[in-house]
Parts: sequence; structure tokens; C-alpha cells
Amino acid sequence: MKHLSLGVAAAALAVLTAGSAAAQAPAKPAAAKVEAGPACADCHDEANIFASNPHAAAYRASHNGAAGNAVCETCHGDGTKHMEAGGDKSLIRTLHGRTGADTCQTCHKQSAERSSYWNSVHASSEAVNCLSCHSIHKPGFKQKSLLKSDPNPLCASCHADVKASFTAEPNAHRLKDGVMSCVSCHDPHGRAANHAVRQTRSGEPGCVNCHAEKRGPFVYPHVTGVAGDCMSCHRPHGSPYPHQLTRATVYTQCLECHSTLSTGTLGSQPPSFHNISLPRYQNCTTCHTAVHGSQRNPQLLK
Amino acid sequence: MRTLRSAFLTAALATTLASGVARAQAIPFDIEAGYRFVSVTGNEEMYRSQINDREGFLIRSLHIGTDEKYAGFPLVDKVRIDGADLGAGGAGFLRMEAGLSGAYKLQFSYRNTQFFNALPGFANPLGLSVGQQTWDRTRQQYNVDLEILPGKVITPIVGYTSNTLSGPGYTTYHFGEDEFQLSQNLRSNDQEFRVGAAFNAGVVSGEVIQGWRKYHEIENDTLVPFGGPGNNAAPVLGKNISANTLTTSSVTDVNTPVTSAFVRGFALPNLQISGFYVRSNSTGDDNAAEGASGSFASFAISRFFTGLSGTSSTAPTSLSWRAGGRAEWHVMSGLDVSAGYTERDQTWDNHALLSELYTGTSTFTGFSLADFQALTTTQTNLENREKIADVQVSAKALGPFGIRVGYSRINQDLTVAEDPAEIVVPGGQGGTYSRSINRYEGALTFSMYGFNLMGEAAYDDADAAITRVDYLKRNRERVRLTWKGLNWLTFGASAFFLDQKNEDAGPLNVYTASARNYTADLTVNPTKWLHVSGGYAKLKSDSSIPVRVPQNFTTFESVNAEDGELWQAGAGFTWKEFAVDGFWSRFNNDGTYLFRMYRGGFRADWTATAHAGLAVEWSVDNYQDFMMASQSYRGDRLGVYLKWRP
Repeated sequence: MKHLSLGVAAAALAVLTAGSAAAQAPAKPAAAKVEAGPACADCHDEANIFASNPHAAAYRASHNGAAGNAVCETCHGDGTKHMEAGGDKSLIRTLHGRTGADTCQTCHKQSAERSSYWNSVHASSEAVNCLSCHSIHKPGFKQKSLLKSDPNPLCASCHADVKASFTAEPNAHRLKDGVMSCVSCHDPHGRAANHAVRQTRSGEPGCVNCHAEKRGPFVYPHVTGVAGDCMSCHRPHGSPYPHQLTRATVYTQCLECHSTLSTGTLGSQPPSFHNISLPRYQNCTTCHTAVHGSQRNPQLLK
Repeated sequence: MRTLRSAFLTAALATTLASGVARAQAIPFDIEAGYRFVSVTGNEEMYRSQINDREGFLIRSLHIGTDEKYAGFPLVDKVRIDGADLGAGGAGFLRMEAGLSGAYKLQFSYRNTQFFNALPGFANPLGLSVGQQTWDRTRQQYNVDLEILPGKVITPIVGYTSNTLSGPGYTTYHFGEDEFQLSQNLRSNDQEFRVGAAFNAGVVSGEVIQGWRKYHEIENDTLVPFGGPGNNAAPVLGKNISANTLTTSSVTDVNTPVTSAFVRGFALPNLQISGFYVRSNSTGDDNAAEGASGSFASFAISRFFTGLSGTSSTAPTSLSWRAGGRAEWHVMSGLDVSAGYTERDQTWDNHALLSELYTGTSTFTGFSLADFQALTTTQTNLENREKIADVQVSAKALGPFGIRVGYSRINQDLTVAEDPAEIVVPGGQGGTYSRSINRYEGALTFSMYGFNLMGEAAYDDADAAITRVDYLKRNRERVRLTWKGLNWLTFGASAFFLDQKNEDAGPLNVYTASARNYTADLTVNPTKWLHVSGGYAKLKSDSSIPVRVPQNFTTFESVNAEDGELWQAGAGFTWKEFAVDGFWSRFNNDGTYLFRMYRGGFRADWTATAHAGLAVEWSVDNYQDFMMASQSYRGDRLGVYLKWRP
């Protein structure tokens, strides 16, 4: 299957490559509607750059190739008075701040199960709004979703403590290489509950999108997201301890739940031959290797 | 070999692509590729477990993108390809988006992640220099999604995901009252095919997707050479335990159809109503076999034995669904109200049949007995039902201020059936548990004169704990401040406070945990060609809970503390076609586990022509472990990369 997937990818890239190789120059955009009077591009370089912007492409596609000032006016409103006044900024709508976000949300308003442009954790305010992260006219061509820069530094500009944890801790997910970023696990447009952490489509913690072998179901489950979840034992933003655990030693990690000092909580007591003064019993996972769940041993030994 | 092949294939793809694009001369294209040298002193296993940058050919970054339609290729008006760290990288990716407006949208992604683990001090009962549980594995992930006629009334959607984890490793195996090290060969593959459609009928839109997930895992383990004596050198009831042979194998299959439906509609232009339903039904099948010969003991059957042949056939199943609805009212510009309700249910119902034939058995006093066959059937089940209701009000048109307040209530009912096979010490294996959490959340933002201030707080109040480390009360507060009042100066600071307690469940079950994080960052850009930055962070956390010592039933306080201090600095300048950036950081942890981590590096760029340049990148991680000095290392990486932008 891996080879099949690679083959599909290679074929897709080869087709694209062949196509691009055949091209010697970009085709001229479809004939724009001829408009009388001055054009936005006469003064604003952005208007030319904007021609290759997804917003402009979407506009052209839905208006039979029409472009020109009409594209700009979709968001900025009628610019006639602005032009007549020699470029008076007060006579044109801008998209800065909270009210600017209202303009974006005239199109970007449809919510999903866990995300919302109206009510997300980053729902538009004067302090945080669309332009805090997105550059509508001139994103770097390396950025997707019209982001101002890579997602990680963007997020870190506010979430400095999280950045510090990734920088400092020796055991952490590899954010620096690009394969993972903050948005791999968090939805920036997600609702405020639970840190806008992504989940799988079937509702498990988003961790199993990558760590699929931990999903189960298991005949003998352990934590599984029912009583506790991955974060009961692991620190996704980095940890001083191996495997991004929350405790320095394995036996304290386990015994904090597995001590029947009170009634009414879930977590069994290890039998007395577990002499934790001996190294043999201090690392519980030496024997209980199937800590994420077992198919054939109730003590998670295999 | 596998990694080398992947790197070669990736490089070949990129080169082919690059040549094609280069001939096109018009599509924005940017690649940086070269060779990275790695030098490690100290504990290389630890370096690989934490850093794992490897030596070799590396595509440092790759970007190709256009939003224009090109003559001779009418089927695409958008192509975007991004890649990074492909080849010798520890985690690389290649991502492609292509499409034609109104016709189709294709997304493809590939991820390659190297997993290496050989931690000397972890799961290593004898304190050996190399951990007993190690692995050197690769995760390969592919994802393809195709939307046909995006944005139209009906948009068919098809997709495929594959996630494969494979590679060698070592594990430990508890058998015959000893632990043996086994070499482990594991391959797991999780795939999902999905098909569905999105619809957009004006005021009503939504999506229905049917997926079929298939998980397949094969694991084969065998006793390592010279592993026969096992970990435990002491005799068990006067008999030395050793293994001549020990093998295990297992095949696991799980099939899961997943159905999801989402629909939203605008009852009024500013009133959005949405609903969803998701159902997944997993049916598993696990078959395993194990065989051993040697000298063993079993407390379970109260005998010594010389051989075992065992099989198991188990069937885990899981049925889960969730459904809910939400109303969102955009009352006016700057004022939003949202309310939602979700109910979710998860039921696990599992069966197992285990057969074990013990041969050469004898009593603990030495009398020979006949072979002993043990048949065990077990049934486990678990049901979890959650009901979540929430309401939120956001008022953002208050001049420079914005406010959000919210309330949610989570009711959880969990039933876990006790498994008789698990019960060694009675208690805590099963039962019915209920927990309700009231959560009050709020956020305040302020923006004026270049100041951006954000504060948020959440207070949780629960009526019961299901596990001992569940909180009954939890308070979280966070404040962030940034100031960009001057063009050449940016300042940021943050503080985070967390306190959680479970002190109402009896005097023997007092659990407290707290965290205090503080950060401050300063960036100065005195000129366009120079920037200097510095930062400080304090990461502090403490937790405490009494635990019972298994061997004598006394209690002790399990205390964990992290007291870390991070100092970091950076600087960069550009001059004509040269650019240099450098950084340095030091993290010192004075908590439960004492260590220090230095990180540093620089990158020098030379843009020789408009189309080509050179980059040199050096980075170092210096880990100093004060608890086990043999775990310390220093890893230097030096990469030389050619930059090409035709």
C-alpha cells in the first residue's frame, strides 16, 4: 500500500510537472471587464499582486473572469469617493481590527461542529482578529491559508509560555521541522472548550491521528480517554521526563492512581510482591508493557 | 534501507519536479537542499531519543506555488507544494494542493517521522547502560482528499489515509516469574477510505461522510541472544529461572465503519443552527501465540514447568456515537451568543479465550505432575456516557475592550465491569462512577496605544473524582501582554497560574497540583538590518499526593516538582546579499529531575544571484543530566545547503 501511495503521489506530481514544463509563460487572465475611470491598481501595487490571490481567483471563477476594481470592492466597498478625494483613507473600508473582521465574516461565517468564526477561542476582538494572523494581500508565497508567517512563530507571539516549554524541555514533539505545528493539534478557529484541541472524526483525542496504534479498542483497556486521557500521563508541550511523561519516575506515575487509599475511585492496588524498594519493581513498564491497553492480558503484561 | 529508499524517492520526485518547473520559468519555486553533518559526543542513544537529527542528504525546504492558470495545462489553476526536512530529517513532510476553481480541489500530504528510543534510565531495572525497551521505527503517513465541484450545490468527496508504523525494537516480557528481553518486530497500518458529499443549498448546507477504517498489526518477538537468564538472577522458590526459547506472535485486525453527518442552516441571516451525528463501530480480532522452553515457575498454577504453548483469540468491540446541536446568534456587530448540547456514548464489549498448555510441570516441592492445560475465558465491558451543555456570550464592541464569558456543565456516567482475572488485590477494578463538572470561563481583551492585553480564566468545580488525580476544584488564570508601541521595539510578557485540588475525598486522598509560568520577551530592531532579542521564562510546577507502598501498605507522599529557568537570546543582521541569524538558550531544571540543556546555533545565508545562493546552518544541543551523568550528550549539526529559485 505504501508503494501504491507513493506511486499515486509520483504520478500526480509527474502530471503536474509535465504540465508546468509545457507551459512557457502564464496565460493571460481571462479578459477583465472593461471599466471606465481609474483603477485601484493605478495607485495600489497590492491590486496587481492580488491578481494571484485565492480571493481574486475565486471571484473571477464565480464572475465569468471579471476582475478589476470589482474584486477590491468586494471587501473594501465602493471606492469612487476615495478616488475622487485623492485617496482619502477615511473614505474606504479597511479590514483592520474587530470591525474589519466583520467584513471577512460576511463570507467566512459557516460554523462546523468544533469550530466557528463567530465564537472561536480567537473570535475577533480589537486585540485578536483576522489580520492578527492572516495577510490578505501579500502573504509570503511559502505560507498557506494566507498566513503572515509560519504558524509556530505566529502562535508564539502570544503563547510565549508554550513556546518556552517547547524550547526548554528536552522531550517534546518536533515542531521545528515543519512536519508538526501548533495547528496540527489545535484548531485556531476552534471553540474555546478544551483549548480548541482537535479530535478525530470519530471523537477520540487527536493524538491517535498519528499514534493510531493506541486507539484500540482493547479487550483490557487502560486510560483510553474514558477515565482520563493521554494528558493524564503525557505532556504534549514538552516534559523534563522521557516519553513526555508527567512524572520523573514510572512507579510514582502509576501509583498515584493505583493506590486504594480512598474508596470510590478507579485504579487497582498492586499486590505486595511489588517491592518498589528494588529496582526490578520501580519501572512498572518493564513487565506491564501494554500500558496503552492489551488484547490478551488483564494485567497489561503483553 | 527503508529510510534511504524513502529519501531517494523523495529526492527523485523533487528533482523531477524542479526540472519541470525550472523549464516553466514562471511558477514560483524555491528549494534548499544539501548535506548535513552530525557529530555527537557523550550518549548517542540519548541524543537520538531526544533530537535524532541524522547525517545525510537533506531537502531543507521546498516550496512551489501558483494561483494562475498556465497555457498548456488547463486542468489546474492552483498548485502548491511544500516540503521540509526530507531525507535525513527526523521528521519530514511533503504537501500538495492542486485544483481548478469550481471544478476540483485535491490535497495530498506525506509525513515521515523517525522514532528512536533507547533511554538508559527508563524501564531499565538493572541500571544497565542501554535501556531494555528500545525501538528504531518509522511512521509513514499519507493522506489524499479530493473534492469535486467545490462550492457547488453538491460536492462529492473522496479520501484516503494511511498510517504505518514499522521497524525493529526490543521489549521486555514477563514470563515464568522472570522478565526476559525479546527482539521485537512490529508493523502496524491504519487505513481509512472515505466517501461522501457536501451540499450547499443556500441557507442550508452540510456534509455526510462514510468512512471505513481498517487497522492491521503484526508483531513477532523472539528471545535475544544471551537473554536466557532473564533479569532476575535470584532463584524463585529455590529454582533458577531461565529460558532456552521464547517466542510470541500476534496478528490484530480492527474494522471500523465511521459515519458522520453535519448540517447547518441560517434560520435568520444572523442565526445559525447546526446539528451533527457521528457513529463508529469497531470490530476487532486478535490472534496470538506464544511458546517457551526452559525452567520456569508459575504462581498462577502453583507449579514449576519446562515448556509452554499458548494461544489466545480475542474479540474487542467498540460502539460509539455522539450527537448534538448548537445555536449561534450574531446579535449585532460585536455581540455573539452561542449555546450547544452534545451527548456521547461509548460502549466497549470484549471477549477473550486463552489456552495455555504447560508441559513438564512439577509442584513447588518437586513432585512431577502431568501436563497442565489452562483455559480462560473473560468478558470485559465498559460504558461511558457524557452529556455536555454550554453557553457563551461574547461582547467585543466595548471600545478597546472585549469580553467573553461562558458556562458549561459536563455530566459523566461510567460503568466498568470488574474482570475476575484482574483482581489480585480487591478494589478499584470496576464499578459505576458519576462525575459532574461545572465550568465557568471568561476572557478579557484590551487593545490601545500598541498594547494588547489578554486575560482569561477558567474555574472548574466537580462533585466527584473518578481517578485519584481527578480534580474537584481547578482554577486556571492566564495573562498575556504585548506592546508594539514603537516600530523598533516589541515587548511581550505572560503569566499562567494553575491550582487544582482533590481534598474533599477524605484525608488520605489529598491531591494538589499547581503551575506557575512566567515569560518575558524583548525584541529590538534599531535598524532595518539588525535585530536583537532576549527572553526569560520561569516554568514551575508542583504536585503532591499520598500513595500506598505495595510491599508494606505504608504510605508516602509522591511529590513532583519542576523548577525550570529558561534564558534565551538571539540576534541577526543583513548586509547586502548576506544574512546571519543566531540564537542561544539555557534551560536549568532544579526540580525533581536535575538537568541543564543548552541549545544554540546560527544560520548564514548568501544570496549569490537572484536565482541561487548558499546557506550554512549550525546547531547544537548540549544535555547535561545531573541524575545520571552517563545520559549526557552534546550533538552538533552542520548543514551546507544550496538555495535555488529559478
